[in-house]
Amino acid sequence: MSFHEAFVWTLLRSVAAAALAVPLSVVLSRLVQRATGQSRFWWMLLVLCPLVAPDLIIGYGYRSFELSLLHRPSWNHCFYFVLVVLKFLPAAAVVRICLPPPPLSKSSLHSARLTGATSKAAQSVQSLKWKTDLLGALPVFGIVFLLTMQEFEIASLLQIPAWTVHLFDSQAGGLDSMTVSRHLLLPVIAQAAVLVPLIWWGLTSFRNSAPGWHFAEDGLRGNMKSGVAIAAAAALLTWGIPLCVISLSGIAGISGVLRNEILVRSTFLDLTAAIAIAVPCSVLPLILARKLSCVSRRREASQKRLVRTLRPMLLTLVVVPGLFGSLAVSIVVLSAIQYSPLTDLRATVWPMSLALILFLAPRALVLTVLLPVFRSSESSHLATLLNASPASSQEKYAAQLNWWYECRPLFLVAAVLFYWSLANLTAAALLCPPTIPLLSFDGNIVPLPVRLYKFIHQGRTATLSVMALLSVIVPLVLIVFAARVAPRIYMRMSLLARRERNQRAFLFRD
Amino acid sequence: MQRRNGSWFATVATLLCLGMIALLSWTGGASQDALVVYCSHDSVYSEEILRDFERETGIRLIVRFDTEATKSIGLINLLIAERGNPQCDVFWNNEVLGTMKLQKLGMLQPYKGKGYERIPAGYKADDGSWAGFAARLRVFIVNTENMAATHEAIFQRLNAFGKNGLSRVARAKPMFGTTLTQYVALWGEAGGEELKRRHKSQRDRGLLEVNGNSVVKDLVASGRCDFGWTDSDDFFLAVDEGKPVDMVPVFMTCGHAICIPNSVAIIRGPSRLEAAQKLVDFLLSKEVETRLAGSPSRQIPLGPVGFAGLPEEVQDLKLWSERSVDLKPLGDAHAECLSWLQSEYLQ
Repeated sequence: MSFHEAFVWTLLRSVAAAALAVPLSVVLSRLVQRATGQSRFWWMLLVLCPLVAPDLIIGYGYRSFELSLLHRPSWNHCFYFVLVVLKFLPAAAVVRICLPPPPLSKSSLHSARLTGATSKAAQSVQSLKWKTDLLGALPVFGIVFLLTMQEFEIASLLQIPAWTVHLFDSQAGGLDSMTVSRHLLLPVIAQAAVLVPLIWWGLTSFRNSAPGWHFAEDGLRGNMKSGVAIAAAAALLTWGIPLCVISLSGIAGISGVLRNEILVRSTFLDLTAAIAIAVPCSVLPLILARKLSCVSRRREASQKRLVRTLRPMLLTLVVVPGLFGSLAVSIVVLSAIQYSPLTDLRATVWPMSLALILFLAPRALVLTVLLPVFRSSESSHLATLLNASPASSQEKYAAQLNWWYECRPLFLVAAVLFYWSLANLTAAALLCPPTIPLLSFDGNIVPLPVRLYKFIHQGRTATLSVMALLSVIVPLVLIVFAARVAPRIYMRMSLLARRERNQRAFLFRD
Repeated sequence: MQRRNGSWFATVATLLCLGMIALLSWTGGASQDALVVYCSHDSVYSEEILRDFERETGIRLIVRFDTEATKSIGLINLLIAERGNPQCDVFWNNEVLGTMKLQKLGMLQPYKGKGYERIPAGYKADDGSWAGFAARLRVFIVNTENMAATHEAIFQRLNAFGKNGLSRVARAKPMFGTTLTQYVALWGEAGGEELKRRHKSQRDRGLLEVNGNSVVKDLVASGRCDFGWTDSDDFFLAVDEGKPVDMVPVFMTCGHAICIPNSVAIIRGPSRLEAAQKLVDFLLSKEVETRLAGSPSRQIPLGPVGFAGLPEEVQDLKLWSERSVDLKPLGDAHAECLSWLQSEYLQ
């Protein structure tokens, strides 16, 4: 299959997936919107978990199943299509939840209906409703279209024609960089055709109000069974089944892995390298996104002229490249380091880190903008009051509140970015140096996804399953551990800072 | 005040992150004296051998492996791209045609050490640019529950007409690895036009083209395909897994098998020539060949080793390999065939 054919396949699939996501996301978003209190967190977890499911693990989990469909390519295509729709549907649901409230209230629509369809007012209300619905569908369509267009790992492992797979293989197969860049242009243009209206929509819709989560105050009516079924199917297909398959095959491989001292050592070092790179590559986009969102939140009038000019440029430079996906960013960075002043960088992790940061920057920005879901103005105010209280016993409660409503959301965003960074294959495979000199350890150290991808192609199931499981479990354990430790550290630091402040105030008073 | 604290924290975190990336990029001088090896052989087997070399000699190695899907081609392209500023000292290729391409480009440093001397003339460059060792054969892997593992049965199936005549036959995409070598051998023997005709005919009749020989092995071992082309090492993996498979060597029209050795070469201008030569001698040694013959991949030793001491399956392979296609004159065919395949698969 030629590149152009693969591109057309991807385009058609992306359009179909995005079109399907428009109605399905309504059902899924209602599930989260309807939930209240503590249950909201669990519903959100169920709905959103497919978004962080590592693609390599999904592809590996279904590798055997895919082989059984090789004689029925159309079934294989359908299966992949269902998989990507369910994986990216949560993103569409989040977009739906965060859409600005429609300009038409339910009561105005009802009034229009009562006045009769022929009246001029009713017609204009109806046309406004159509316009609102269409504008609401645009971001949902756009986000799923982009994510499906950029998908690489699952398509590669399930042997599905996609421009990403074709380009990745062609690049490794020795296609000259000019041809690779020329090929890249087509998907970039296709994505830009969706991105430009999407950005325009974002800028116009949130001109007056920041995006936020819109939960139903009075609960939404309607049947939730279909929403639960979709969410459960997505979680099952992206996490449940692949993990079960890998665990079952991994049990047989544990003894083999433990006997192979070199494999244990290299797996441990590869995982450490992947984590060591993922930490800065998830924290830096988050810091960048916080800065950008802070800049955009301040009032235009109070900004200096330079800031007003630089802001859109900064946003464009940092956020836009990542919107075209990890493969496009990695290929551009790879092309850049072929030229003389930058060639020395090839032996370092800087190019790979840059690609990851650029790829994660728009995601970090979106997550940062959506942070207020966890915030509560009452709690923030209470924390400020408690902090100002002279009673030292109140400090602890103030710090706890601050952690819960201010820092915990940031921690969650960092954790998600960390997981995405860790699971990213294309940047690591294209830009990773021959070895990462991890504390001068001997050996060939590459981020674990690169080794996993190679082993998946070699089909070493039992050993590979253990490694794949480790690649999922170890980062999760680390996140859970950090989630336990971080609040304690934060509170201790808060108390120390307060004591220092009090001492300074005391000295100043004297 | 809070904003100032936040800004201070962000600055510290940014510096820490940049420092961390810098630390990961900093070799600390430790790798300056290391020998850089690019290796396209399966890391499961090669890594252990390379670590033993490190233990025995105290020479530190930095090894870059290739992926199965782009076997050897990826590293060869990388080596060519790095031509002006070579990063690699020794190249362990899992086939020979790519190495011959590097030889033609003048990128290899000749070395005729004691390892080179023990390899038969048919498997090494006359000028000492490279030498082959530990080979494998191209074979048909056959599911014995679905059909008989004989040449007759295979050719009867291969000649089946109809749109789906070959829908239960699998082959790796010929762009990479040993399937490419097989294509080049066919190009050399039957000519480009005939190969293109066969290729088209097989695809028209529904032949399954998959990503790599291991997928072929899996498809046949699971009974989803009746037979396919793969390498002897992949076949033995299926045997070890207890799958109902057998193999039949792939013979050319001239009756010769396709025996594909690993090859090792020093890249011109290595940072540590003596260490590179030691590694080449080590890889070409009798011990390494014997060890690879005894490994689950059952590779065929090319140099003199005790025949009786070889595993039984390897003895059979060794006999077949003694009458194999000479790959050395196929340099031009390789370039032409690869160029055609690139136009078929990469455009």
